[in-house]
Amino acid sequence: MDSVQGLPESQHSPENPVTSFVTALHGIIPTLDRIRLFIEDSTGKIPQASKQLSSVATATEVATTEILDLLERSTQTLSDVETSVAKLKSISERQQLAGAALRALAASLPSTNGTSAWSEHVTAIEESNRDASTICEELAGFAKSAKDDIMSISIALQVQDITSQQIAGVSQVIESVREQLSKALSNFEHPIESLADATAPSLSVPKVFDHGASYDTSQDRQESADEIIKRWQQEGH
Amino acid sequence: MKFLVVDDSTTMRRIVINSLKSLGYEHVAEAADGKEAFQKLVAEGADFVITDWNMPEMSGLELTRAVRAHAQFADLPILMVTTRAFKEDVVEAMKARVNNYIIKPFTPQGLKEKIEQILKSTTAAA
Ligand SMILES: [Mg+2]
Repeated sequence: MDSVQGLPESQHSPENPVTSFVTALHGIIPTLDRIRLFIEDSTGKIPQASKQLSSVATATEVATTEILDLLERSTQTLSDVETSVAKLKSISERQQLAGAALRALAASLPSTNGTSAWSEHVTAIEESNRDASTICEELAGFAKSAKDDIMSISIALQVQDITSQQIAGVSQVIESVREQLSKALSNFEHPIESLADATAPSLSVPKVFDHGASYDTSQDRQESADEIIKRWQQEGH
Repeated sequence: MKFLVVDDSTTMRRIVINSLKSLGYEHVAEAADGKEAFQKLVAEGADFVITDWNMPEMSGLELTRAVRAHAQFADLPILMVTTRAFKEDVVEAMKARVNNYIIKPFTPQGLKEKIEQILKSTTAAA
């Protein structure tokens, strides 16, 4: 009989199934090894990723606290300005009364009655008192407007609470992936114990959070909630 | 009028307290979770509770149920301020008998309106 495709006759006989299984296993082992190394590598990197997320959350909280400190201090300074302006306004009002009294006095004195010099002086005093009063009102308006702006900045800092909940959500997903990978790793012959048993790093994110938290400043969601509440109340609950 | 502001976020507590002060409400106490809030309520009392939902130890929903179960606080005004925005959340909070519901981020105007609405309805009912 001719040899097949140039192979010698002795190698043409069918291979023992056990031998071919062992050969196949030998081929798989390097692949499994690569998978094991990949899992080890990924599992090892996760605590670092979690720590980085945690440090983002911490830095944001620290910065928010510093901003709130400054905003509260500025609000206090503006309140002090408002108090001083109110005092100034009351002084100017008293001076206006004094100006009116001076005019009355000038009119009652025979020696000054009708002289234009007196009248001019009193008019100048009255005008400067009116100007001072107007400036006080303007200053009070500026202080109020600055306070409103500070309140708007303060209100926008709610973003810190919301993003920390979002980070907590991502951390939870990462932690569950790490657990699954650690479990997968324990199925191998030589798992790295330190990784398989590694506990989740403690994170400075909220322990309890809302998975759906979002910084949405449109009023659509509030309007929907208000609609539900209105219906609830109409139904007489 | 004494307010009790309950939130596990220090930032949120400060923001709500600052907003209340800007509305002229100066008398404000605070708590970091429902458990602490309930203890403060029993020990020191309050006229109005503003509470977050998601908190450790005791949630805002559990706090509301605990407060309502207490005869002394059956009619205490409770405003829920939370990120939870699903229809089911609002319904669940109303079932627990919060007086009203605000979704974060809130606005000072929104807070003012809700407080006034609640005070109007509770004084009318009294
Ligand atoms: Mg919370």
